[in-house]
Amino acid sequence: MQLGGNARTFVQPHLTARKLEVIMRLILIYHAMGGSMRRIVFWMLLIQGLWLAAGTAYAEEAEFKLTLRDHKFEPSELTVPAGAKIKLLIDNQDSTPEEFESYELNREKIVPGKGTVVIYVGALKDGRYPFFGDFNKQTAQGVLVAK
Amino acid sequence: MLAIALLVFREVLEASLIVSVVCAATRGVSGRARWVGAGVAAGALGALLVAAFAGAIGSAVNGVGQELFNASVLLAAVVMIAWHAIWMASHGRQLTAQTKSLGAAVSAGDRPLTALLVVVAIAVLREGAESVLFIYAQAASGSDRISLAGGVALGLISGGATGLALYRGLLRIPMRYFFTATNWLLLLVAAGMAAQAANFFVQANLLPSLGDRLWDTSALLSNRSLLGQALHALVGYEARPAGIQLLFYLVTAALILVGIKICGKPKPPVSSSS
Repeated sequence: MQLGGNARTFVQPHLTARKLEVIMRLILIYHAMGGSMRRIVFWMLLIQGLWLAAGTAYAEEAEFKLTLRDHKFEPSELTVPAGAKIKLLIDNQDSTPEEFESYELNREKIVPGKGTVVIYVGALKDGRYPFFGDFNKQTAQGVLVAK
Repeated sequence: MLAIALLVFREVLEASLIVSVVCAATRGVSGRARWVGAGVAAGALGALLVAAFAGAIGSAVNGVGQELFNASVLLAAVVMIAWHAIWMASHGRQLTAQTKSLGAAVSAGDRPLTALLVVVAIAVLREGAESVLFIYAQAASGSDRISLAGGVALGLISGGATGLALYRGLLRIPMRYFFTATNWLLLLVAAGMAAQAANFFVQANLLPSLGDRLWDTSALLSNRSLLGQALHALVGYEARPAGIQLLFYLVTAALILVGIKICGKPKPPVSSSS
């Protein structure tokens, strides 16, 4: 998994006069269509709209990384931005599997030995969100601090 | 050893409770022990397979394969419970007369027991896979074999015993309300599973959370507590649910109820072909 690379920049679409014209034409075509055709197009647009909405919502999560070594999280305290969805990478350097778990975050995921997994969390409110490795609770403890 | 026992117990507990609900819901059906046993065996086998391929499953689909897998098996279980509930509603009328007298055996072929077999297998598979990985991790990091074996045995026995206790408790429900109660319980199990599946989709960033934390009742009843965990398995209790979990919960419950209503309509008194 590639880390530390530039995050994808997300460009807001600009509404130009040309685009506006295309949209107006499409609206005219839509109105000229018959019932069943219109229904099909309506659903296609709806699905595409939802897809786009999902796409913009998911376009830019900041990435944060936790490393598991000797059944301990590094760093054991990780500060993340509040109010935004974040992408958490958990890199297990140990050869045995671990289970990342957090009641506060409502998350649970197996991290295979020598493996990396992705967990999305948030958008979090300000606060402290403890997490732990369920298979090595005595050592694998950490906390996510959302600010 | 106690720490090991506790973890295994926690994993076994949820599966055990679901199995006991299925056992109660199939009360009086002949040959159901075989079906439930087959479900548990299939689930255990599946758990070993899933544990063995955990790495491959986890890294599939951009690192969210595990969530997709969990969500899929949960939704499969939901569909099975829904199928069973709706089937029972449409065929139940003929069966009520028979099942009212407990001794009367309803043959296994009369009900979609396969559906419940799959539910049992999935419950065992999900919790079992985590137990297997934990035991493997413990064994590989050189923990004492005897205390590991002892802890696993203790966890399995106590988890099984809790399920048995729930089963015994359910059997005390008066016969008049018994199947209504167990069917409602199954419906809530299904709704809770759907909510869990929704959470996996959120964790994989495939669905919006619609509010990361709708409410927080963890001070009242935490999912960390045994009661919280038991209620999580049985009725889908979440101390800090995401909005979409509530949505999945309600929609699933509503869909099953609508299915029951539609299919359970009293038919003209013509005897059915079966």
